[in-house]
Amino acid sequence: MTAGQPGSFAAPNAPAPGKTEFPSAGPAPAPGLAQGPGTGSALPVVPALRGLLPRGGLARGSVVAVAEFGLLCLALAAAASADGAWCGIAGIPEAGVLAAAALGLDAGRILLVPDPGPSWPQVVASLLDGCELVLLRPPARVSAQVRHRLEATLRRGRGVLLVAGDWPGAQLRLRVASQRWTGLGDGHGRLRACCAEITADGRGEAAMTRTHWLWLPGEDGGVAMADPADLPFDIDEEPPGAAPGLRVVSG
Amino acid sequence: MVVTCPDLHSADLSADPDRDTARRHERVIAAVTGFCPDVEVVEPGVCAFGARGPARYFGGETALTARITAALADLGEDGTIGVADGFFAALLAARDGRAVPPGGAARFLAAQPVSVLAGRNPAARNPAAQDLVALLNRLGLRTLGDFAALPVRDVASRFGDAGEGAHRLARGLDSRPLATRPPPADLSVVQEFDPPEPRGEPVVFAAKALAGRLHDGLAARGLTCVRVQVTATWADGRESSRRWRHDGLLSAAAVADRVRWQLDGGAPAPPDDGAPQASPGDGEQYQPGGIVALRLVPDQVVRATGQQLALWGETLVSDRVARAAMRVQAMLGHEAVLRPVLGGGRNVHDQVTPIPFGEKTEPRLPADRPWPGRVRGTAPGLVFPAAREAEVTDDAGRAVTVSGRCAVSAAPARLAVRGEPPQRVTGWAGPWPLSERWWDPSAARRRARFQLATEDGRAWLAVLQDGRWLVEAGYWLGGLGQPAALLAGAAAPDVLGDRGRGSSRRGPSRRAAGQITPSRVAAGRDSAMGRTALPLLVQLPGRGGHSRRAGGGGGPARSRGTRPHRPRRDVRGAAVRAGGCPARRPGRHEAGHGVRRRADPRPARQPGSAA
Repeated sequence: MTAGQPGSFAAPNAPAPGKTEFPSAGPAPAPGLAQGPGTGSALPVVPALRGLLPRGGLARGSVVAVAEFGLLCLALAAAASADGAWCGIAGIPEAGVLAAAALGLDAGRILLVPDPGPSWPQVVASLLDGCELVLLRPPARVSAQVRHRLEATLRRGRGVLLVAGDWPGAQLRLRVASQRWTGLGDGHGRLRACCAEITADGRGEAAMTRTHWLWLPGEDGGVAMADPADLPFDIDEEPPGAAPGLRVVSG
Repeated sequence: MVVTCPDLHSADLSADPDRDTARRHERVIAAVTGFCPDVEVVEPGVCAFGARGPARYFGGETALTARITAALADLGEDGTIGVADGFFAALLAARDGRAVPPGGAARFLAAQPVSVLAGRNPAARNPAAQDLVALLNRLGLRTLGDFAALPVRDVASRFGDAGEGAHRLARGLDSRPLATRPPPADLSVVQEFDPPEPRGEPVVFAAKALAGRLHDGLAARGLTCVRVQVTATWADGRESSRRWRHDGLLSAAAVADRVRWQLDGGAPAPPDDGAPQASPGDGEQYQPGGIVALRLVPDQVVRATGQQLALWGETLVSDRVARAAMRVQAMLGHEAVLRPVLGGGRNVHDQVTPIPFGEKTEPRLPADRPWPGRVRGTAPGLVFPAAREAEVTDDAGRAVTVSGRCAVSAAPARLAVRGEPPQRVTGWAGPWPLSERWWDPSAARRRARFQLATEDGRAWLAVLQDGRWLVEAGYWLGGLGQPAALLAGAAAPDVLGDRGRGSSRRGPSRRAAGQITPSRVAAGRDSAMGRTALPLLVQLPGRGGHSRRAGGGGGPARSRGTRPHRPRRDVRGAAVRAGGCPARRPGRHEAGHGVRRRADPRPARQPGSAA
C-alpha cells in the first residue's frame, strides 16, 4: 500500500493488444465481463486519479462503484466531461453542480434526473444511450437481474456507469478511507482543501488494492496527489478526531 | 340577444392566477356557440349574437332564451338573457332578463337613467362617459328619454363626440353591427382504433400519418406550435398525456418517435404492474386492452416565422443525447430531466438553476454580478434539496446562538444533524451574516452561515435562521473507509424506502450508516474494522454474499469452492433474493448460463417479495 506511482500503470489509451480485460475473472463473472466493443479504451480521468485506476482511466463498459456520493464521484467524471462527454446524474438530487464545475465538469453537458422513480433501470439504460458517463445512486437493494441487464446495456454502448453506492459486480471500487479538511480554525478561516486517503480495489486487473493520498479539492480547486510525508496531520496519529484541531497548511 | 353572466362579468380576469375564470368564460361561450355560431364576445361575461335566425329555428325568442338558460345552468353558471332591437338596448334588457318586443327599444331606453351610459362594469368604466353622465345629471336630464329628446346638432356642439355617440345609443341606434367571431378551427387530429390496438407499432405508424395531418393543418393556416400534446387512451379508460417540445422543428417521423417513447414508458401503470423490470428495449408489451385513440393537439399555436438556430454559444446537444433525454422525459415527465445552469446568488441553492431539458437555459440569477455575501471558496459537493434540520450545541450542551451584532454565544462543539448521532466539531468558521431582500417582507431572510468540520472528517455548511439550525450542504468526498463487505452496510437500511427512492428519505439513512466511521477511525485503521463491522453485519440479510465478495480479486474461484452452506447466489456469484425458494434451486444450478434467460420473467414477482 504505497502511495501510487501513476506512471506504473498503462497510459489511458494504450492497452496491451489482445489482452483480456479480466484474465483472472473465473467462469462465474465471465459472461458478464466479456469484452465488449468499447472495452478497448477508457474515459480519461484527471492525472492525480490515474494511479488509482488500472487502466489509467474509466474503462468503457465497466461499472465503477464509489461507496457514497461525494466529491470523489464528481472528480472521477471531471476529465471525461471536460473532454466532451455527457454526464448523466440519476438519483442524486443533492449533487453539487457548482462543485462539479469547479472540479472541471462542464455543467452544460450534465443531465440531472433527480428522481428516476421505480423505473430507474430503464432511465439509466436510456441515459447510457446518450451519455458516456452515468452517475447513479441505485436504490438500496438492486436485484442481480437488474444489475446484469444494466451491465449488458453498458457493454453494448461505450459508457461507464459510476455507481455511488453498492454494486456487487463492479469492476472497480473506490472508497474514501479517511478525509480531513484544512483551512478551518476555531472560529476563523474557511474550508480550503481536503486531504483524503482513497483506496481502490476491484476484480481482475483491478484486484490489487491501491491506496493514494489526494488533495481533493486542493487549494486551487483541482485534484492533486498528496505526499504522505507532507500531510497536514500525522497519519499514524489516530484517531483524527482526537487531534487537537485542524492545522492550516500554507500553500 | 345578449347573454350575461354577472359573476363572470364583474370578475377581474387579470387577477386570476389559475385562469379558472377564463376557463369558465370559455365554457360559457362554447355553450352559447352551440345555439348560434356567430357570437361576439363583448367583454368578460357578456356575449351577443343576432337572435333572429336562431329564434326562428328554436321556436321563438322565449324558447331560445329558456334553452340557453338551461344550458348555462348545466354548466353551473347563472346567466341572464336580454333581447331587444340593437345591442345597447339588449345589454340593458339583459340586466333584468327581459325581452323587449320588436320596435319597443326606443320606449324601453327612454325609461332608463342616464347612468347606464357609463357602463356597469367598474373595471371597464370609461371616465369620459362618467363625466358625461355627471354633466347630464347636473343639467337635469335624468333619463335617456330626456337626453334622446335633445336635437342631434345641439348635442354634438355641446357634448362633443362622446356626447354624440351616447345620444345615438339613447335613441336606440347602435354604433356598429355585431362583430361576431367565427368558431375557432380545431387543429387537433385524432386517430381511433377499433378494435383496440394492443401492439405499439401500428399506433406509432398511425402517429406518423397523424402528425403529417397535424402539420398540414397548421401549415395551411401559416401556423406552428411550440409544443404538441400527445394523448393516448387505452381501452380501460387510462390515458397517457404528454407535451413535447415542437417549435415547428419536428418532422412527422420525429413526432412518431415521441409517441413511441411515450407508449414505451409513459403508460399509467396499473397497480400490479412490474414496471421496473420491463426492459428498456422492448416496447412491444403494452397494457392489455390496447389503445383506442391517439390524439395530437397543438399547444401554444403561434404564427410560423421560421427559426434560425444559434450559430454558436450554446452547448450543442447532439441528437443522441437529446433522444436519451427525451426518452427519460417520456417515462418520467418533462420536469424530470434537468440541465443545470450556473448562475449567481448568495446561497448554494441559488447558484444552480435546474432547467427542464429542451427549454431555454437561462440562470435565475445572473452570474456576472458580484454577489457580496456569498460563501467563497470550495463549493460543497452535496447540496441537499431540502435543508436538513440540525442542532449545534456548545460544550455545555446549550444551543449556539448568534446575536444581532453577529456575536456567537459560544464555540460550536457538537453538531447533530437530524437522523444522525451527534458529532464533535473539530473546526468551525463563521458566522457569515446575510440579510437578503429586507425590502420585501415575504422574501426577506436573515441568516448566519457557518462551516463546521466534524470529527468524522466531513464538513458542513450550516445556517442559523430564525433561531433554527439547518444544514444546507455537505463537503465530503464519498464513501467512508469501509471494506467492500461493509459497503453493503451503507445501503442496508432500506426499510426507509426502497421503492419510493425519495432521496430525502434515503439520504439520512445512508449517512446514518456512515456513522460507524468515527468509531472506526477512532480505534485505528486495521484493528477496529472487525469490531465496528460486526453490529452492522449481524443485521444484514445479504451479508454472506457481500462479505465473500469483499475478497475482490480472488473472488470467483474461491466462492465456487467454499460456497456457503446456504447458497444465496446464482452461478455467477450474484446475490439472489433473500427468500429464494428451495424448490427451484437445483434447476437453477444445473441450468448454468441459461439462468439468465429463465430468470427473466421472475423479477415481476420480486418487488412484491422484497417489499
